[in-house]
Amino acid sequence: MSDQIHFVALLKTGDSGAYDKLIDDYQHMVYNTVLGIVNHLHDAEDITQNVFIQVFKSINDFKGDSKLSTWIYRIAITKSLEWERKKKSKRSINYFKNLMGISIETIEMSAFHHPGVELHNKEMAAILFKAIKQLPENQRLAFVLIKVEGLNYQEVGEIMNKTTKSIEGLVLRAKAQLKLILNDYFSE
Amino acid sequence: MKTNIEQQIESTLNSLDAIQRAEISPYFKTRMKGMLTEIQPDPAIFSFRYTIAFATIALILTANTFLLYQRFNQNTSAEKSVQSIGEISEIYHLNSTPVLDYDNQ
Repeated sequence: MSDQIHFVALLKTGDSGAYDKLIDDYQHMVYNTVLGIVNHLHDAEDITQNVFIQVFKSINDFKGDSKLSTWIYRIAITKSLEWERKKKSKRSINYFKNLMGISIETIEMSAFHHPGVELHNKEMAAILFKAIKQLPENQRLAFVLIKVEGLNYQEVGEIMNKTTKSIEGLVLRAKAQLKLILNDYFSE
Repeated sequence: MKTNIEQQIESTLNSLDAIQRAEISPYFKTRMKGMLTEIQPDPAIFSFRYTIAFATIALILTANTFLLYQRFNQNTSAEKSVQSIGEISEIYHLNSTPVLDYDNQ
């Protein structure tokens, strides 16, 4: 913890070496969290950039009440959800434009193939990612952080400001919901 | 049939079990560092900018005060000279009845 205090103090002074270390230590964590939520390789990298810029801009607001990683996870989740909302509203506008006969380029949502999934699981994982997208936000976040990012219930609880019990509940409900979605999918 | 679907659901749910971390582009760090140096405010330059700004404001205010003071002084001396002209004309009766007073003719 004292290491973290010292490291954050360096970040607050704008020390370039500290920022080098910050990027080295957290780039994969941030990228994978964002990727698990937005399911888009290129956009995930852009969002990861925004996360680090946000960290840089608001490092003085970090009070040290939580772990630095927890704080960065929160920023990564917020940025990813913001991106999703923007994309959703853009899609709605495009839909209305289509209805009004205005010609626009439509962006097709293709299946997402996570680069970290083993080859023989690629198709199954793509189906699962599609199903995860249909979950309510909290269930989806808890499930992604545990299944994709490999965090434990306590860590996810700290990130989402919830108790371990409620995270367990969210993951259980997410699994039940996913079974229903997948059942519909495979029954077709 | 049902067991087959259940099996498919199970294997789909387990498809992320051995997931590895995705690798970010190797150029990400270089790009990120470039971005951060662009938005990073250099503390020395930052305070120097403030000093310059405050000095400029102080200079403008001083110049304004000086000009206002000078103008005020000019007005006072002009009033004084107007007053002294009035006094002289009174002494020498220069502002007595006009030469052509048509109303009283």
